[in-house]
Amino acid sequence: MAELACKRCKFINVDTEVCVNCGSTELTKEWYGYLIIIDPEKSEIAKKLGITKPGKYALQVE
Amino acid sequence: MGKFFAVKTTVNQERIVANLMELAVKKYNLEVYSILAPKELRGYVLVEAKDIQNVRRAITGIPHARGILSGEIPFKEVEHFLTPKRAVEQIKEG
Ligand SMILES: [Zn+2]
Repeated sequence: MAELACKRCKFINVDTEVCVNCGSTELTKEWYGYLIIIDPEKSEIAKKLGITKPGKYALQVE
Repeated sequence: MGKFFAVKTTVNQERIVANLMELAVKKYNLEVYSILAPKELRGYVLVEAKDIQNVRRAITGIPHARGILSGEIPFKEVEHFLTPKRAVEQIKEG
């Protein structure tokens, strides 16, 4: 199971070559920090990072 | 408005604890809004929730979750984990 983070939106994709969040093909296995957004409307972190879709995100991608 | 709490975990099990908590939150419809496992913070995950009771329910029965630190964490302190310094850049700069 390959977990690849999108370089554009930081969404963590599982077993895909295209980001399911933004459609970018620039995915990397070099990512750090782990963020699960469950409720973007109530999450202060989601607001701060501009995340509107629930899911798993990297904090940093190389 | 959510509050932030730190859940103590076994070192290197932070992501697993976060994933299991997410499942519990969805299963029991808990008021937990986000879960954060910064790489700089070994042995803890940060949880954004309505209150500590919701965090307690989210970790109940989860292996490698070892309890909640008493007291809220100010958003200011959580914020600096959101924009980590890039180790590679730091090395290049040096
Ligand atoms: Zn993307």
